[in-house]
Amino acid sequence: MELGEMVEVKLFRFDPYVDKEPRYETYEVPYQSKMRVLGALRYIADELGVEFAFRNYCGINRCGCCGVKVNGIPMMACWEPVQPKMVIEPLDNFRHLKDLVVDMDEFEANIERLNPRLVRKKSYPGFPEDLSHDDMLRVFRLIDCIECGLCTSACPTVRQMGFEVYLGPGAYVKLAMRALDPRDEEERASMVVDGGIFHCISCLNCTEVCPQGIDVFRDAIEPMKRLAVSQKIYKGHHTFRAVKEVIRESGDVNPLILIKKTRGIMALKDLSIAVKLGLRGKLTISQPDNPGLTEIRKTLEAVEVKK
Amino acid sequence: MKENTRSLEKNYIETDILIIGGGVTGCYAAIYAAEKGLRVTLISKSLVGKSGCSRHATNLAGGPPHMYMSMEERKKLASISIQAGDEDSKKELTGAQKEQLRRTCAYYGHFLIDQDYIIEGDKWGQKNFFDYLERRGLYFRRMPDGRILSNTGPAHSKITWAPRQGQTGVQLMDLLRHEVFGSNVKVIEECMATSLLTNNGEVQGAIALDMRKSKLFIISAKFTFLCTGHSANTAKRTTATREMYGDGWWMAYKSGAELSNLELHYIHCVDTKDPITMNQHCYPNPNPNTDKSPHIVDSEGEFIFTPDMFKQGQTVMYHLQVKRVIKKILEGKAKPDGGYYSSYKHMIDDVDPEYQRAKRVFDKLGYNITIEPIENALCWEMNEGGVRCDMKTMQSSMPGLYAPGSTGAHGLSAFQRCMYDATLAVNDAQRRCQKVTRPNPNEDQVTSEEARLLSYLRTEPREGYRPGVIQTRIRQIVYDTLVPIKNEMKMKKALEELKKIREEMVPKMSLESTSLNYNVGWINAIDVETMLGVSELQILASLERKESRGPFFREDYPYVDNENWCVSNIVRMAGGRPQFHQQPVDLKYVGPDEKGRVDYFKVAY
Repeated sequence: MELGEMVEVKLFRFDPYVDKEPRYETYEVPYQSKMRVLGALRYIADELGVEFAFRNYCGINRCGCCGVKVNGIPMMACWEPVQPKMVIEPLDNFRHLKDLVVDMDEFEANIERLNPRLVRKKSYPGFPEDLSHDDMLRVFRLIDCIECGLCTSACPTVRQMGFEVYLGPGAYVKLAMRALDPRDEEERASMVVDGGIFHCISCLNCTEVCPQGIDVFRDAIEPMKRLAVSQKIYKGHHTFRAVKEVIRESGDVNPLILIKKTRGIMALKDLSIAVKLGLRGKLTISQPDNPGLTEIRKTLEAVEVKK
Repeated sequence: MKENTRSLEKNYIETDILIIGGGVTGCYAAIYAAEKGLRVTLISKSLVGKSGCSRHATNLAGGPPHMYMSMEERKKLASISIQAGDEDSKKELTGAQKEQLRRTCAYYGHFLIDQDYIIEGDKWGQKNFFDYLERRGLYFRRMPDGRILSNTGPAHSKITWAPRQGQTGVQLMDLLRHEVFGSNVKVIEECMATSLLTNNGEVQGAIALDMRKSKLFIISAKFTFLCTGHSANTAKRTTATREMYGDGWWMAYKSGAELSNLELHYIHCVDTKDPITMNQHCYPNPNPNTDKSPHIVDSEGEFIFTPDMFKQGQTVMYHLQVKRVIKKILEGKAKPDGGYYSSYKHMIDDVDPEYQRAKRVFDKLGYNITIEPIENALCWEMNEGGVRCDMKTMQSSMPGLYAPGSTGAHGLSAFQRCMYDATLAVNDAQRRCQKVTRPNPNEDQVTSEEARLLSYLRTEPREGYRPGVIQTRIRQIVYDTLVPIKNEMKMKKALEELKKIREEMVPKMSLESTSLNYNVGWINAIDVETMLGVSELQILASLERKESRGPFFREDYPYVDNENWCVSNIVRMAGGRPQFHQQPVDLKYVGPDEKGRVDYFKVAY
């Protein structure tokens, strides 16, 4: 955008104490050089005197408080440039308090459940302790997390199932930061499972929205899943185990066997679906021999050994 | 719906220590006091560890000398124990220690700081600061040989970060935030202290307004710690966070405590001009592991800071930088609000995003620092003055009230000193905890404070001024008046303007709604009174000091006057009016070389 142009802001307003339903107010903001979304919001507050509730403190992507949804995408208002037309709304997945402010208490409580502090059982040897950057490399990738909650607000599993089922990616970044630290001696693997991490559907939304550029999925979620599996605390969802078994047996995913293994007698309830699938040729009773079966079994074994 | 609410729900809390503020001082004091078995309540105007200027820290200055040594050297040093000096007698300092002290006093405190405090604080820091942080899990970036990464240069100007330059405050405050949550501290977030409870010349707690539900907390405490930090958001360009209006200063002043040196504040010279919401340092320190720093040039391309300046290891001396920019402004080659530039062109290979954060910010802003210089503007940073304390206990002139950290008039603030202050205050409080009893809060005071707060909760007059707009105006006046060139005429005019705001705009101030749910307008309205009060005090204090010193420059008194003004400039409320007096500073070990009046621009420190 250029100086002299106007930014159009549609601002979400809703005070559950006073208003019956949410409304959107439209404001025109003169563009300023390198303007951020926060610049437009502060103009509305400071120059126009509009009193909308909005947490914003540091202005430079450090405090993690000014997360909002701009045109449907969660982002830090202080960090992202203004767009010519913006609809600004509060973050999803958190309880709404007022206007752009959501309740982060539950998010915080989720993090606390995973004990985000370093737990030393051996005594600390004194500063500086013997440590190399290589030891800390995996932690270093997560260390910039500012607990802004953007990843958690973008998580479809949290939206679908709620925090009771899955604590969300944000909490796991904090857990991973400690669990991957060679100095930490807390038993973290059971925490991983208790928080419902295996409900994660690997959609990568968390990675995409992180304002600190953390690869949340690759550097936090995956290592945590691996931790739980490697310590035999989690053997995998029974569906995944069944899929693996079926592949080992026949080299292919035979739907009938898979249904039998995963749903058992309950599958009869969905007989009508089976008939439909059969009519469309999706269910075959006989399974042709798979020529690559030996290769597939070898691969599976190799994977097992690696783990 | 709640238009006619004329009383607020009240909650009474009793505690040993009430901590107001959730920055480094507040958090560490809370953790430390809770560890000592005291009952602690911490209230924060916003979110603990997230707001406040602690979050902005880029570097950790100083540090234990052995941090930069090889393993061998470290072992050798560990065998030498630090000898604790007799508290009151004069210590014997070696030549090197004296030089270190002289530098600290000259560069950071302009000889207005307590020298014993500096010596003892350094000692504490060397023993405890880095140790504590690493013990609790902070990671200091290691180099391939296992040593901790820092900038190159002489030891006194060593700085380090955890683990990336520009990101230190985030990691440190994150750590302390969770330490607070994991400890036995009662935490109330988004709760704004509005006044101190006083009785018989003693502070006995505070009244606070919970922003989320508009409940009033009446907190009786044996000891009250003001950890509210600076006042910097009273100016337009600032590194302070949004909610920092000097609440602590104002509450302390109203309760009768003494404040000092309010006129002295650091100014950053090398922050980006655009966007105004983002105060990014084009950091003039040498980059990690190099001796290269950005070049700062004026509107005609002449150097403002010569590159040599950094080769001597003279880092983080903001007032030296400010002095040079002031000179350029007087010559018409720069403006406070822009018109001078920093350039990275010569050092682009060394700007490594893995070592420092600045590159990431410039990339995000769309600045191509390999080809274009970046326009800078002056930015109000931390204050040196504040609530006047006993430097051994952090107790203010009001019994029961402590002002550790940057709320106090300690001359300089850094994480290390904030934590040292917190330790002193908690130790003193613990020592006296058994002996102190506090009576029930004075109900008259609660009633009148409630009435004061409710008086702002109004939507009449309909066409009135919004508090947010008034705040913007105050910020502009303060910036234009105090950053960085001051003179009597400008300051008197500013006082007139502030008076006009107080008399003409504030009575016509009204809100969008009287909702009791997260009413931002209401909080702003309460803040307007604080801002006006604090800004007036700062301007009055600046008028009082008739010289120039450190980053404080008066056009009408362009000289350093060590004969008359090497003094603390103290203010307290007397008969509802601010009353100033001065008190000489004890130059116990070191003092300025310059005697009498010396041209401000010729003073070496």
